Amino acid sequence: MKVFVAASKKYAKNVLEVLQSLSPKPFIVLASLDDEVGVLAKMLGIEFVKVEDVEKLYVLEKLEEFDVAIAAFDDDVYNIAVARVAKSMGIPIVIAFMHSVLNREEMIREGVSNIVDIENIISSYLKQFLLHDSWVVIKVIPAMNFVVALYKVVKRGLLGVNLRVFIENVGGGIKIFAIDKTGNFISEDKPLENGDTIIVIGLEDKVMKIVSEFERIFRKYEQYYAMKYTDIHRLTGYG
Amino acid sequence: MLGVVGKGHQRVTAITYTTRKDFDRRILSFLSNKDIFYDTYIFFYGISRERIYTRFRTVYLSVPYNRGYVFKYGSILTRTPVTFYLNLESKCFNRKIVEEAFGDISTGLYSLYISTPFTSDTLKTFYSNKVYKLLKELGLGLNLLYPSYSIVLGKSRVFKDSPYTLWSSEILAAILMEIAVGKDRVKVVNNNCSDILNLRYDVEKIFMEKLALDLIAMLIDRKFIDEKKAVEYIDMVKSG
Repeated sequence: MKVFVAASKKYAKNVLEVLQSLSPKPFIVLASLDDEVGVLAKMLGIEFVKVEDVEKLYVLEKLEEFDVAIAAFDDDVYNIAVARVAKSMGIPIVIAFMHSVLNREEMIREGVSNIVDIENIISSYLKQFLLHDSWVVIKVIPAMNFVVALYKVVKRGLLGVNLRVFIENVGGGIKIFAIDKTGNFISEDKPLENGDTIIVIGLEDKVMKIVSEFERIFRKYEQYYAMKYTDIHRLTGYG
Repeated sequence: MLGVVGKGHQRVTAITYTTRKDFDRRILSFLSNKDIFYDTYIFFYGISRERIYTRFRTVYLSVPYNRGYVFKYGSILTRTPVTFYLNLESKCFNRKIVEEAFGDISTGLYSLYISTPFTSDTLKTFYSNKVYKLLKELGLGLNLLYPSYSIVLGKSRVFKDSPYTLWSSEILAAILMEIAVGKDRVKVVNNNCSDILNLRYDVEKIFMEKLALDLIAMLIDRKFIDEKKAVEYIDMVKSG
């Protein structure tokens, strides 16, 4: 396999480490705007092309024989430009790093076949640590559109919802389970408490649909909860 | 003039930029003229998670409020020898100005055409205190009275080679043009209309200080001034 990599100093090491772990080892040509990447390429014994401008890549005629192109620059515009070069050279598989989800359409239009969504990785990891009582969707296997949705129960631990309510609403193709603070699985009939985490696994479109359904169930339970207390209040008022 | 540009001459790439979603959409009908424009991009450089829905390609910059990137990245994406940069929030957009600009550039009279100031009082004050004072001393870019402009048309090469700065890359490009090629290659037009810029949170000082420092760095790079002189100028910028 012949792989063409265009990477910035930030991502070059990561990409090269992955490529070198492949077997059989691919033939790699590395291009970059940064001198640091040149040093890295020399140390690893990889062919390096220093370019001042992405447009200069059009001169590399040998790219026409390559199978994979990886665009790993710090900005989406550079990656789009590299994808454009790869497309014009007839490289069948183009993988590009994407820093803003909004640029997805433009990338696909320029011939990117696989996208590494860096924004999703950063935001979903941060949300995991910071966000409670709401759904965090993490793309686990992007190639298969496979995602994991997490929900850390904090305030909604008071509602007394158990996992069975959710499982009844789930169709095929989705797995759902919950773990407690210590990492043990929670049985379906036990009410969810503060610190428990609900985990949903499945294909992206199905998970997104189920997540909104679950949110509706939670809201319904909140309504019941609120009604319970307002009724008590009303009773005492009349009494 | 448009007929000449459209049929006999090469088409241009339009790079337009905005920070807001709700810009005046009447400009877009002009940009969709396939006789003039080879390709049109909209660069969104504000903070928003929402898409802009138009018939054009839209690129969302990952560094918000950096107008310099519009020029830098615009020059990467452009595929024509001439590039047209337009501020979509402009209230002074006028077909006549643009047609005149196309005429000037396509006949090879100028390499860079700049018109319609895009400025505010604060930005102008900082510009005159920090940058224009410096330019006067050097005798360069004397017709660049405003910090940034809404309509910029020029050879794509100009923006590819010139260093970028946070807000006013066109100023740097114009000055580089003056140093490298000649004063008569840049045309700055005063069309008695200026766009008002609403920058919040006092970022004008940062923009203009960075522009002044980038300008000094470029002048050293081009061996226009020596390092001793540069230190003096940097002190001048910091105190101004």
